[in-house]
Amino acid sequence: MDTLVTHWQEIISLAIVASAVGAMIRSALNRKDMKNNCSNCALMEMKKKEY
Amino acid sequence: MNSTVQKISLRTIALIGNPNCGKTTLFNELTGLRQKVGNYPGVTVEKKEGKILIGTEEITVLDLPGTYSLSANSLDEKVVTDILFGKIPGTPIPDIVVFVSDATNLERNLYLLSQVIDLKIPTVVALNMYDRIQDTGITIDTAQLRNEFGVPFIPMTASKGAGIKELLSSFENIVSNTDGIRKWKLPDIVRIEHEELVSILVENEKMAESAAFHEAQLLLSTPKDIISFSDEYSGETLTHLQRDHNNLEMNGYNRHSVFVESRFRWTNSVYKNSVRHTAPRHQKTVHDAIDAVLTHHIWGFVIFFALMAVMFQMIFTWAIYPMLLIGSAFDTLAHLISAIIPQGDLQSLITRGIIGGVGAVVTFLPQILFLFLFLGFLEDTGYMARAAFIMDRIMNKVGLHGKSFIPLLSSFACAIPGIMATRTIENPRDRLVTILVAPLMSCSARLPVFSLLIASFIPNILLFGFVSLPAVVLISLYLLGLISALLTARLLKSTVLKGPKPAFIMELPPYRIPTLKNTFIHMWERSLLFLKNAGTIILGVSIVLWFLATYPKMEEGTSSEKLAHSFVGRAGHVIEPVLKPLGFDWKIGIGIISSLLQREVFVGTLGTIYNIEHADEESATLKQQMQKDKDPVTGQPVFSILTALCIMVYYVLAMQCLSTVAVVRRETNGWKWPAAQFVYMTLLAYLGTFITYRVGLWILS
Repeated sequence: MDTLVTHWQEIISLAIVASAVGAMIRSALNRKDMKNNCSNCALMEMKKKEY
Repeated sequence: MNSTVQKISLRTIALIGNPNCGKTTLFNELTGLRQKVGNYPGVTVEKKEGKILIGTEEITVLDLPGTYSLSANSLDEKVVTDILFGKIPGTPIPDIVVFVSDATNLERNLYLLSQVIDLKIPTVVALNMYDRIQDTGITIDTAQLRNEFGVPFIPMTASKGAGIKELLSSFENIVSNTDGIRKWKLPDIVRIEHEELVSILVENEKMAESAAFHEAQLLLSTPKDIISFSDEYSGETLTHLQRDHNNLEMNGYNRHSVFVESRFRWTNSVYKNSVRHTAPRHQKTVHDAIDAVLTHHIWGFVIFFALMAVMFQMIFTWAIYPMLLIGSAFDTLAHLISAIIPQGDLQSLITRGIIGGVGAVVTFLPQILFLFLFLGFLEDTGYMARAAFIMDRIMNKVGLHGKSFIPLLSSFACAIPGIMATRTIENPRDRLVTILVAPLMSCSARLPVFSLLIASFIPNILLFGFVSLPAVVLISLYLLGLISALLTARLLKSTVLKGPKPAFIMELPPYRIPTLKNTFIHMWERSLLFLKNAGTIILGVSIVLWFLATYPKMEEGTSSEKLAHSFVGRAGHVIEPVLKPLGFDWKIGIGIISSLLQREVFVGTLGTIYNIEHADEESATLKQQMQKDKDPVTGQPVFSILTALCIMVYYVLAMQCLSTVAVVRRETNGWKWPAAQFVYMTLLAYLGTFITYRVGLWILS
């Protein structure tokens, strides 16, 4: 408990670092981000227009 | 003539037409999507898909690349024939073709239209840009056209949304068309040979009649040796084809041109009966007068470089104020967080790691926006095609043609759409050369790197009383990229990718006033993308870098010593000997390695590292921290004008973009070319920087 109180900033920081690493690995694995890195494709959203 | 007419069930609509006739504008209007449009041929190089609701039915709309005929060879044009003949798995043959035609240029558009109608797919013609026909002095008899082609002609102006409702309601009345609307006539002998070959293709090769009709024309007019088709057709078909070739030639027909000429003869007569010119044709217009200057062999270049100079001046002078504003907003945020969270790791991670890294990059957003404002203006007005035209002579000297210059110009924004745009180049070797040199053009991701270094180390003085030195340095960097691209292309074309010099035929699109809506949408999308990268890739790298620059911890010592003790400091010192010959210290080395992913990460990395290193000092901007950074051993400044120039030369020439590597792999179907490209660009960057550093030292001494 004492460690938690004294080192709370360190613990939260390391948790943030770990989640950043996890997100980067996930993104590298699915490689979609890498391909869709231009405005032509990345921002293409499917919208429907009703007439 | 028998006619079978039945109502069709509508699931897929394809937009087809000549290049630059407004297909994508109509596609965006129909689907509500925001595909990129531009006033130059070849903006769409692959099929784009969207949905619309008509009544309760959800219909797929395909936007296809522009083509002049169905016998085209380039990759983007082949997409059109593949879709019309149902050769793409998962994409059915369209139920309706909307043939988009530039109403002011109808004569040329009718050739492709007659080819499409031959396929017997229900077709509607959208006579686009109809509001401009009065200016060009023509009147169009749409009833006569409908009578001749047997399909409805709907006048419309897609950019203003006019005629869309009429187009959609025309779908309700459309019926399948199986009667013979192929009204153009071949000479008797040619017609008989053609009909025979069609029957053979249907029987022996099990082709649909419409596909066989088209294929028989290609086979009868092909310049290729018949043996080259042996993989595709049976021996019996090929024997018959050889007999047909001999027969046509014996009867004095030029089989290469007889189909084209017969079709043109008919479309020209239809045009003459349906379109009336109220003003004399080929009269010199204002557009011609502008073209005479913009494509002049001397003035054309002067104007091109003047426009580039204006762009870089604008990027440096106008963008400064919003940049200062964004910079101070991030400072305030860092102070606020420091006041809320007590001193410690979390405070350091947020203020020095995240805000230091992400903030340093986001500050450059206004410059990126100005770059896209200017490039959007060049694209929409139609200047892009003129730039390609004047560059044709230079491109020809390196063994390419002007068409390759459009992908290179697009690469000023981003190499990825530039590489995609090479699909319009017919010759595979020329296309490959263009792909290999496109990333040498300075893209928008290099701008934050150039901008940070120029603002920090290049004195802001005026040359000749009106051009600032920073703008001159920036334009020189862009020119270095362009010249390196041309020289590399020349080298490739005379060695590994040798081939004949291609001829250049390109249509110059009419000048148009850019629409504010289009330009702002494009700028908005680019800023979203830039911020998305800052919020994902750069955020991630900044967080990880903070960890690597903070751990393992050292209890005693200055922040500089702590940084040197960290993982980053140790790794930096390992790679330092490789970078020393270029005049780079270990912090620059870390910046270069972390930015292999994406170039602007370099700025974020320096932001994080310097913030951590100067943690025990008064807060200062990244620019100030870089200016006062000294080598702990020699006491000399780490950065000088020469170092800044060396880093910029490195970034002009190095690949440093994983997304581009991935796209080159996709476009060349393998790892061989992207690997070769990465290696040659890295070597070129190292060599270029080494020469710059040595020459710089020699001049200074």
